[in-house]
Amino acid sequence: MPIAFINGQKIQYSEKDRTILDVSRLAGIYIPTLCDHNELEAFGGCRMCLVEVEGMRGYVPACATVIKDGMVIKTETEKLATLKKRILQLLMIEHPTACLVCDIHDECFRFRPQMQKSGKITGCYTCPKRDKCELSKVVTYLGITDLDYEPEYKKISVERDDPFFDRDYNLCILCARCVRVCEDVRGTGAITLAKRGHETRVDTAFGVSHLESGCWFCGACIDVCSTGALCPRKTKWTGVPDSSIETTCVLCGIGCQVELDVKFKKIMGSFPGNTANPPNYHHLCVLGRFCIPSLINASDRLKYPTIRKLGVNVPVPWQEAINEAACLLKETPASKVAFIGSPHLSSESAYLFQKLARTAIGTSNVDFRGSDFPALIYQELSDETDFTRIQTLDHLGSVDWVISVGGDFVKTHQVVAKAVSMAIRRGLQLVTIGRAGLNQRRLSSVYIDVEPNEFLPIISKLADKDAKIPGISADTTAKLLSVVSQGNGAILVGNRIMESSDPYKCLRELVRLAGEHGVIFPLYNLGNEAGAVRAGLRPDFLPGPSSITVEEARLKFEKEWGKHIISGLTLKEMRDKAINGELDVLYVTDGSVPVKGFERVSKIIYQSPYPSPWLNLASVILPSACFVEEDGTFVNQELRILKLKQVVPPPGLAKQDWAIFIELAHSLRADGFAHKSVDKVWKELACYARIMGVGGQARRVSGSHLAIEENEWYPRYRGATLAERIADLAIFIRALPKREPSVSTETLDDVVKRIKQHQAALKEGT
Amino acid sequence: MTLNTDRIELLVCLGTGCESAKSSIIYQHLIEAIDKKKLGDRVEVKRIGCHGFCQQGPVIAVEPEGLFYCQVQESDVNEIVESHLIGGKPIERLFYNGPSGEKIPHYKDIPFYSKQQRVVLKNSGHIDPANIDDYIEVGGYRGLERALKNLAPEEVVEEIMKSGLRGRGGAGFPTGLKWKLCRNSPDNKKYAICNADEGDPGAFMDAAILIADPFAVLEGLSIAAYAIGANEAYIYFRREKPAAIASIRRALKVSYERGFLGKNIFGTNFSLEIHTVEGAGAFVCGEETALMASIEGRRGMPRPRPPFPAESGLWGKPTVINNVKSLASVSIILREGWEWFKAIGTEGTSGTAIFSLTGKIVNTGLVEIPMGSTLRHIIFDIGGGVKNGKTFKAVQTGGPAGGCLPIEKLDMPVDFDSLRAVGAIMGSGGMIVMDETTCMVDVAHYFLSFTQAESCGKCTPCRVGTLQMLNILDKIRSGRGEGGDIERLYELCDTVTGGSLCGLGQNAPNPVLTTLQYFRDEYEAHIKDKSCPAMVCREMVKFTIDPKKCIACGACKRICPSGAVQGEPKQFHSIRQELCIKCGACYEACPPKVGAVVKMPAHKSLVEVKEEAA
Repeated sequence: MPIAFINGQKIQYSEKDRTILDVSRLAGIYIPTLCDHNELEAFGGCRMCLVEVEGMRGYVPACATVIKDGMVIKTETEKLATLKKRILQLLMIEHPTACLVCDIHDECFRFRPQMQKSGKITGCYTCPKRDKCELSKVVTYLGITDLDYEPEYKKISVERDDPFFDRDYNLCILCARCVRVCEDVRGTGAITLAKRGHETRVDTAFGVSHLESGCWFCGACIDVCSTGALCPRKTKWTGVPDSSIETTCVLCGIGCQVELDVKFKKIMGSFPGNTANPPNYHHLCVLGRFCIPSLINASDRLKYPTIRKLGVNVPVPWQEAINEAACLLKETPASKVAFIGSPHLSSESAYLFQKLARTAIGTSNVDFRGSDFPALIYQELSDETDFTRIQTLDHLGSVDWVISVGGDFVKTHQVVAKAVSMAIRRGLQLVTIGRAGLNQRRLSSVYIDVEPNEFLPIISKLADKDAKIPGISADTTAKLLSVVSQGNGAILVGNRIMESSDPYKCLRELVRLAGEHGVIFPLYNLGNEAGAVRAGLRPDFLPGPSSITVEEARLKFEKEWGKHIISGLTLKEMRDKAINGELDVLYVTDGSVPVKGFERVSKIIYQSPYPSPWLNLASVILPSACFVEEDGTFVNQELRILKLKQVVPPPGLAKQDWAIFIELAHSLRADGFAHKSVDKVWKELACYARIMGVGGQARRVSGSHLAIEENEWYPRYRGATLAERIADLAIFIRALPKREPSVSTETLDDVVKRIKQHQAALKEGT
Repeated sequence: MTLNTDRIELLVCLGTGCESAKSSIIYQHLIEAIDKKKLGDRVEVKRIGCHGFCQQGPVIAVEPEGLFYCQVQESDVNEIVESHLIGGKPIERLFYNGPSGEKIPHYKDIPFYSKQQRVVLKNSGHIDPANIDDYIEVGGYRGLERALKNLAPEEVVEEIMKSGLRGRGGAGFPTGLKWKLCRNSPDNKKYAICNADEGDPGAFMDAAILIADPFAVLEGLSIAAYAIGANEAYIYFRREKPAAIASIRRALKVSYERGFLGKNIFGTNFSLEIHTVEGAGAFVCGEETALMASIEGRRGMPRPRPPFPAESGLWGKPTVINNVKSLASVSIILREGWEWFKAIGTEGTSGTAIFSLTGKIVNTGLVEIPMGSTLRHIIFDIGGGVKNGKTFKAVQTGGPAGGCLPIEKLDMPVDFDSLRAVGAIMGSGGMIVMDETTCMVDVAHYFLSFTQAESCGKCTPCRVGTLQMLNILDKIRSGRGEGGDIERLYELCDTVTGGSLCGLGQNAPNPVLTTLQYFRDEYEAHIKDKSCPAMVCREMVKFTIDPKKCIACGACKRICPSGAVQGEPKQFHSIRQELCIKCGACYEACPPKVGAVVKMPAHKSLVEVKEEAA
């Protein structure tokens, strides 16, 4: 094992700990740093980690210097301390330092436990980052209590024109972490260092707004900011939280770990979870980073169970509402009852919901919005080898290339985009087939802009390694083949594949293209689709999921539940039936399902945390809890089992979905609903293995019903349309089409010429 | 004097200096006139790159005699054609005026040229830069041919190591060693880069070579690529020097056509592609890691070294970066052999140094001398001394991050180590001469304001430290200096030098440090006496009118922009100090014979100044 001497101490290190800083940290030797960040490459800008190394000229930055066997390093000498103190003082003269030089600094901090809200941040006591500031830690460590030079306040006005976060670059110390995380980790590159000398600052290219610059508002820049320069606007002044709890976000199929700050039993802010926690490893998208508090704390949440009496929704006690619902369900023949689940239910709730339908009522008319896509994945990859191709994003490291089909993951799945862009930085090449936005095109080595119905011929030809693909130039084909012809690939499948001429075949060909050890990442847009399908929330699936057409599976469940099971109606079929007036009772748990077509259903039970157009039709309204208000399980698109944790209590009398289903089952006197907790439900669900059978796939290739409902990214959560509730998100989503400029054929010289002509014309005009 | 008129070559300088004095128009007129007179069969007009003597531009050399016409005007074209080309009678009026007033017809007799030793600049001003055959005729591509056909890459590296060539970009790192490190890096993809990002204010050596002798640079770059095992190379320019870019692009095109670039050069296995990249003009992009970042399409910011480019450079591959002058020297070393090159210059630094001599000097221009020549030789023998009969005060070498050396250091030999020992640097070869009317505090402020504005902003000492120094200098300059300022400056210099990431920051305090070291009394005069000895700093100067000399002509009153001059016709004029903006217009307007307007230290009265003078 190699050895180094740090401050006279003999330290052994393993080869993988590369720099002096790494080794020092492992040995417990503190070296102050400001621009270093564990996710980013060494920058060497702040000069706080300078050390002396015997045999090397001057001082060297510990963060960027690779340690060598036998190196003699000094991290704390008098000279170094003086140098660093002076450098830090220079840094501090650009930073608001009212508190640093204040005489009553200590008393002030003792008697003012929270920072004070202020329009202009002049010192630590008006800084929202006061308690998490990295700069102040280094200042304390180096013992700076006064400034030798005149302060040099930059007088930049606080930038508040963009949604979600404020930028006060007067506080910025130019550690450039935000710039680096945006470009190197997230692959966005919306911000950069601009100008030179003392005027250097973080800015977008040409100073346009973040909305125009291509920012996805993922908030990564805020999370790495070492000062209070970047702050989320809504949660800036909430102060120290009472507690912070990590749970799973259900707003798309990734299932990111989010840390929620709780104060006074309300959610105050959401932050990325622990760096070590998959699947998102401390990264979020705009929804998880900024939208959760506004969504959960909405004032119009449903809080009381109601029953429609004489055309008015009248609040009633829970038991009465449950009995009423049970009554409606019991009175009607099973074939005329339908259950609409939600991709945002926890797996346990989804399981209980379909069990309720199948055992207590005796119908398989259960489905949820957008279930076709996950069903396709489960059905087509039913074979055990194929199924194990669905892998975690960590496997991007073990493939040779990536292909994205039928989706713009940069827009819909920012965290996937992060993983892919990191892989691209390591040398992977990305091929995009199907329409994608500017950012994804920028990441792609080859981009083929085709409509979904052309996916199949292209993919088949590619899988055959055929150099002639109709409609694509020979150059592009050659480039494509040069990328995909070697090794194993990773396939990112978006839900637009459902619009292709034959999605099943398309998926099969993709699997063939990926190679022997290729992997597949389905991109679910909505939420717990994988969990819901696993729980059997489909007319043709039983828990596991097991195909209803596989005799063995069906008999097993018939025996277990004591009911005859037949295949049920899909959502589309339910709607068709409802239009014909053949549906009497509908149990809806997802307000985001369009009401259209269901107007003639006489009795509707609506269960959701949010109001929606269903309210006007509903006979019984059951208020339920949001995902942060319940325990449960989430299965993400990589088939990871992620846990939902109750962070705050539900508002008013609202109850968790699974508890409502259990009560309803009791009221219906159904057997098999004796679960005392969610864990028990999960245990029961987890016992069911996947039985898809070989050759027994429940193929439903009738075509028309495969059209998906949600092909545009417009996040909805159980009746709450996020953009309608969160003004900032609406601004962001509205700005998205505007930043997809048509590709210009102008050369740079043409541009210069045009500008000159324009200027000349202006001059003439004046 | 009668001339041979059978075969005449007119070499019109189209270097930047002459070009700005409209030499291209003269060139056009000459061509037209010769066409008109049908002299085309015996007279050839050639465009050449910088001839070197920019002070005398536009210049025309007449070969084969080696006559030298300087400060040629458009109106002289007809006379040249009629008298010289047809009549065979040279135009004495256009000859160079020697130091003692005599006319010197041949450039080889002009001290500016005769005292130089031109090695790298040998071809400059003598060959047509657009014509590859001209270059081959004077021995071009022999070096590359020798390297490719007779030497293994290791032997080329060895040859350069033995020649003792040190990088001409400024730091003077041994070129051979750099190549060896890169050659030994285990990677099959490598790059060679020519650093032509010459950004020092007042420096134009690299651009001049690129314009005058582009093939020499391409040849050197090819040799470098061969030696390290690269098959791709880059030339990094700055966009502000379009003439140099055009010249190299033209040369590249010809080289590809003639097979000196591309596949299987000289029929060997060696192939080379050279790309050109235009930088947007950031001073820091002359730093090698910043330059590579810029080529890669990122913001030009230096990164910590190690790893050095020779291990991990452009796109993470081993890379060698050499300055234009180093590469031009490489061609010569391979052609003439290392022994020949080693014999020039000093023990520690072989070869020649090229300076662009500017400032308060008689002969502004491009100067090449063997390493180890003294500053006095450059400034007085070649440069012709200080302009307008003023006295020499200081010389600044090495661009904005160089140092100012006083008269005592004039006999010092010029090479990398000696200059560094006295606090200056060789830099890439700027040399600015200053006379007694230059204030050293002002000079330090000027250079520092350049480096401050060009700091990339990455590391704190350079970004903020230089600004603090600038603020203090500004304070001193404007008469608000106080005790402790000099110490604080030293402290800041120490912080910036020790703490900065790259050479720009580490050397930025050099002008301040050297002026503090050699001209500390001037700083003290500014701080303690609130006076500027050179009478440059506006706050410490005032203008008054000596009533005993004033003839009441009103010239000063008419020109004063702020109405500060008081006085009626036939009355003595006076200046109201509270209105004066110290523009100096009155000082210039007062007839020299009268000399009534006096520029003097602000804190003194006219009587005091007169008494002192007496």
